[in-house]
Amino acid sequence: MKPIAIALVLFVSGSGAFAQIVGGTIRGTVRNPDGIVAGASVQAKQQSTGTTFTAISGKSGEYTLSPLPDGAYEISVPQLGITSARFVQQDVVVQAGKAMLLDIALRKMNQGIVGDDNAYLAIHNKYANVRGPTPRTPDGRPDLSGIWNANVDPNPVPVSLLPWAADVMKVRVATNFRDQPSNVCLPDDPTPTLPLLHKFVQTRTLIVQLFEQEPHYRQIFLDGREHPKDADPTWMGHSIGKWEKDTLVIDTTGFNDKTWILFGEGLPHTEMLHMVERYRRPDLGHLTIDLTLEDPGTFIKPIERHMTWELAPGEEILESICNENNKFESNAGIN
Amino acid sequence: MRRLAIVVALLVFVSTGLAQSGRGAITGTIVTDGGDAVGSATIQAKDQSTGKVFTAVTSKTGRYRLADLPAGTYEISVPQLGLRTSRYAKPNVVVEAAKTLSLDIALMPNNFGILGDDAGFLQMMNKYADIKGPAPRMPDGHPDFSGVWLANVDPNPEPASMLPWAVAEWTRRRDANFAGMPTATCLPTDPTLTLPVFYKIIQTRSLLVHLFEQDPHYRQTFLDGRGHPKDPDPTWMGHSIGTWEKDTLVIDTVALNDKSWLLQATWLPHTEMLHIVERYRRPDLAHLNIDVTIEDPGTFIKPVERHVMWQLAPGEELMEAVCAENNRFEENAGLK
Repeated sequence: MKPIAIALVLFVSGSGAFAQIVGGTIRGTVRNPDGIVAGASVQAKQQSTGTTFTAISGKSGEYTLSPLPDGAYEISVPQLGITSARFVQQDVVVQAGKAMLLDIALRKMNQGIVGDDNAYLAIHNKYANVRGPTPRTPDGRPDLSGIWNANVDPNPVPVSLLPWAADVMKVRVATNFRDQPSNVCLPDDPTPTLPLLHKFVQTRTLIVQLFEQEPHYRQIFLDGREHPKDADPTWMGHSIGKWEKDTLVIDTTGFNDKTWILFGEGLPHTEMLHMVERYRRPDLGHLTIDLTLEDPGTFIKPIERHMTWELAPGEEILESICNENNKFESNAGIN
Repeated sequence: MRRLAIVVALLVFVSTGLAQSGRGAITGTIVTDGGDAVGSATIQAKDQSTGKVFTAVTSKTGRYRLADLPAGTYEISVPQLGLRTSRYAKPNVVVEAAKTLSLDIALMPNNFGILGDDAGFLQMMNKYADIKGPAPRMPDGHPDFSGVWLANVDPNPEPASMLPWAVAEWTRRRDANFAGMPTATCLPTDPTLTLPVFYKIIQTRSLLVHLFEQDPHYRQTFLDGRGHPKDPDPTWMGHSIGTWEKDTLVIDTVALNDKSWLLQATWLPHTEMLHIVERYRRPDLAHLNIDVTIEDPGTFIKPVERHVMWQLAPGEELMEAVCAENNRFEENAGLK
């Protein structure tokens, strides 16, 4: 009994000392109507500077954002899969040396479709608290291989669109996104923002991303090749990756203008679209992605998104054949 | 110079020695009906009495040499190459001991009037003929099958022996000109991966991924020692696990649904009892030999075997192929 008591005392006194020197703390628990939510990324954005801090909720739903500089913060949790809505609360004031308690209650987001059940959250919970160092390839690079449960940005900055694109968005919203390509089994969004499972297979010269949507894979060449000079535009574009220390910087061009981009937004774009992704694997269980989308034909300024994905080592992507559920023939009275 | 002379003398002696023990050879050139040389073509000699098979590959100039053939009567065959040429077969070719027979082959065109039956496939074969080098290996010593491969069909496919229901179903398909083929409506391709198209293989210590331009665009083969799942949902591509037998990777696939049509140009039916075993070997840098055994006691009287050889095409890359982009359902139904 005595050793445990001593350890607890040390822990409390240590954290107090730490807080006094560096800043304040926000802590609490993330829940939804069904119970605790593990593996959720909780983001604190300092309202004066825009600086962001992120914590991941543990198996009991607990999170701790510390140390945070003094100031007012916007606290947010992204939409998780399609099961819960985004949480956001502004003007949370942090003072040095003080711990603020903020329990987060996520609202359910029932779209009445496949996938808006608790399975996504169950996977989050199952693989929360996966710990360990970043795996590395024989040549010393971080190895991004694994099955990843993707997430969206907790705090997406609204986009600034040119007038033609704003008009297109009005139509898309008014028609309830009826005409998005994936509705007719065409390829999905090429940006890494769909909150679904992705598998990465990495070799010295190539990363292959496998996923359950069309076109089912994406290649990222790591062999030093450049973009082709006069590429035929494609749905996924042409991707090359270069290492900047432990960050893999993926540059993609050669897009067609048919995809609707960013999960939950479905934005239009031109063939000038240029996507830069910066992937880091800070530990075994997490992948952080900083995404920049430039398109001078569509966006007034580049769009940025910041995601944290979680490793789901016991999962596997499923064979998913969109055309197997193609209703064209039956709708047209052919079959 | 002296050393070279000795080597040459030894070679002559050895090859003469083989010939004297009852072996002969067939050499010649393979060209198109227009007279263009065909490189990287597989040519097969099948001993008509024993069924034993010998294989050679043509050079950029179309030359081949089937050496060390035991004296006997052979069926010589060249597979359909892409969609451009028809299969060539010539039975009753007699090989005599210590003699070299000359056999020049002109392939007949196979014009379907569809995309792909042009000379592109043959040009690709010529471009990558004569690539030499040892089979690359993984850090753990196993052969590395990674690369972009131009696939080929079996030069000498034995007809499948099917149960009566399967014969009736196959006849129905043929009489309908194979109209209900799944790929015609953007559904997945043949899980035997024997189409004469590009395949890209990515190999790691624990996984082999095939990428291809047909739906569902990839197949995973697990090399991490896992078994098949106990009660899997049947899928189009099934569940594939690979184990090494020395330098041969044996890929075992089960849990297939009964919807796919098997084997290029024959399009056979099957049941969910389908079991596919593929044996992959990479004898040198540029070639992959694949022996496929297809078992299904609900369909086939005896297992169907296919022997194919793929050619490395290192300068090529898979293209994004989105079948649904060319989907004509709406248009055909008068909706658009």
